[in-house]
Amino acid sequence: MSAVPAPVPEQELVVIDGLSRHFPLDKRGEQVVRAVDDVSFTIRRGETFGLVGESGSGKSTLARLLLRLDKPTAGSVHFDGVDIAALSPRELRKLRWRMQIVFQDPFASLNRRRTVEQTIEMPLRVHQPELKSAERAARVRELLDLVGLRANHASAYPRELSGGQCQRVSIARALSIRPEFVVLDEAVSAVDVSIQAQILNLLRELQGRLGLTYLFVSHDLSVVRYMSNTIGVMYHGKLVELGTREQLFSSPRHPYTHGLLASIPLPDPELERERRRAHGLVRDEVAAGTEVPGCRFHPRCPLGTREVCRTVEPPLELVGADHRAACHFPQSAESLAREAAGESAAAPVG
Amino acid sequence: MSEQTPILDVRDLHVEFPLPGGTITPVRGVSFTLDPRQRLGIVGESGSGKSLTALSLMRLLSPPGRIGGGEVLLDGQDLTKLSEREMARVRGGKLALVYQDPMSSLNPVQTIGRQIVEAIRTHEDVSRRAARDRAIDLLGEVGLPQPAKRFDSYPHQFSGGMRQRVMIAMAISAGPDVLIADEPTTALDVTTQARIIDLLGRLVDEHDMAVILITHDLGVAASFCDDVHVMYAGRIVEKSSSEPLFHQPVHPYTEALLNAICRLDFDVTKPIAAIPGQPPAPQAIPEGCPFHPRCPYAFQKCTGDVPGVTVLPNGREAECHLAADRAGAVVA
Repeated sequence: MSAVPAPVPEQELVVIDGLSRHFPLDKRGEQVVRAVDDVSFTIRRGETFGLVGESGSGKSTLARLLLRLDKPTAGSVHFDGVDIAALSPRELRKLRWRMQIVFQDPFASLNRRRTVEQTIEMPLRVHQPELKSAERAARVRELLDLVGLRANHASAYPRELSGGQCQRVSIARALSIRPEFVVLDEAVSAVDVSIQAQILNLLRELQGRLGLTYLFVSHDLSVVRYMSNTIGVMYHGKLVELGTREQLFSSPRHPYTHGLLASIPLPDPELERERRRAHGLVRDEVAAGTEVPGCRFHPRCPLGTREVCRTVEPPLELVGADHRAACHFPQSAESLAREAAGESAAAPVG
Repeated sequence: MSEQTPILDVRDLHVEFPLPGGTITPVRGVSFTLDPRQRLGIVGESGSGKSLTALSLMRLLSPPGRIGGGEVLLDGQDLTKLSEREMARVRGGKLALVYQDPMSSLNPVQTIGRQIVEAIRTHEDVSRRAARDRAIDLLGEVGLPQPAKRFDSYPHQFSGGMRQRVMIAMAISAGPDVLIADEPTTALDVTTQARIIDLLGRLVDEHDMAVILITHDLGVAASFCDDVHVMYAGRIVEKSSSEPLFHQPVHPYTEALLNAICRLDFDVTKPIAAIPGQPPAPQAIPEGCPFHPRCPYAFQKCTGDVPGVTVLPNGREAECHLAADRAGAVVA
């Protein structure tokens, strides 16, 4: 890759600063789940920011905060220079015009009593009430074509469509009012491999044609890698590693990222046999909502028995140009494996 | 493959659903054998019939679904002919099943210990005390920390991975000959999945079980299985040992499926080779080869003639008119 010029503010479409969302567990709010905890990053215009994490990592909560579908406990989200928390309902509605979301489950997110046409034109009715019905119909036809559906799908109901086709309808609906920013929340997770490939290709093609900016949220590291320029790895509400695609996949530094990468099964028996040993790296998950002192990954980390890991929360710090990791001992997978082997030989774990 | 007597021999299995609009047949003649200690993967997309195949082996199809024909020979005994009572002894005994979703297959209002004890005592005449000791041993064996302490816990007190470990403990409690694992890791996170697959591998070796792993994830199949069968539209379209299948697929569907995976090492500057169209619904299986409308190699014959099984020199099988040519090209 050629040298990337330093980002100038105009290129920043979404700026997230110290964003937190805590859910109280009891009425007095003494116990909280830190679903999102002090997260900061920037999404540049025209890029895809990939947010990867396992269930309970807070990635979907974060996506909702960005669209102001939920209010943060602390921190801010600026969209194109505007603090979205400060907007009046009316201003917010105008802003919603510019941001859309596509959800995971295409059946659940479509109204089964509406035809494809009614679904796609709904945002137009809300945001562009001045359009005549013929103009709306023309726009729907254009959108169906854009997402690879036939014109005669317009009168179909969701139950008559496959999962992949429903997801195309969701995408057409999201694009109907020509947004700049689209959040794709596990948008291909519920569809089969052959359909997933179609949808990923479509999303990339649309991005190129329409100059869209994406937040691509997924648990699937392979898919995030394919789609994203910049990637953030979330673990239990925290961003634990942040970098470009090359950095994250060629020289990851956080033990959790190493664990994720080592856990993905490859469709190749030979490679799988070679990698099998690496699976010992990450221990079993801790039950969600458990408050962990120090680094929240330490109970699962091969180096997690160290004093500093058990007591001090590591900040997200630079480990290279524009590459950050929240770890007291950021390092390569090889050196991590060596250190972990030394550690377990020195002190048998009970 | 070895010359031993198979533990399971499935012959021309059909699954049908009589519906108001006519009977549909989502599994249309599936045949395969399973040797002792073999790890067989059955892969396919949703609607391919892989899970219905698994359920019909256990005779757990929900009505109106039923076995419409064929035989399921477990150790020579045809399970399709057994009475419901006889089948109940086989189920969880010689033949056990691990489902996708451990939360909905465990009883939420009973402790996990009690559920395992019940599973043990269903198949063996042992005292409560002995069953309890066995259950604790089993929980330890599947990697549950402090098993004696967790014995009295309820399913909701466990993470998804731990619940799946409990399900596996229950499934192996009667020492089955054959374990059917239907998408056992699909509901789990990727780091947990890797550990559960490792655990399954260790257990089947230690307990001399044969396994049928049903999965949509070719990566999971590659990491676990000796042999892989690929299903499409209710048929097994390719059978192969694991390595050649992933490196040199013979059936065009297998090839297309492998190419459509968004791999971790895929060139991000290129589009993914998606398969056009979608799998057929069971009431609308195309004439001829069911894959021909989506197949880049399809020719005249494929639209009219249903391809039979081509047995290839290396023991592989494929249902494709071009199988011999394609396999030859692969070998050459």
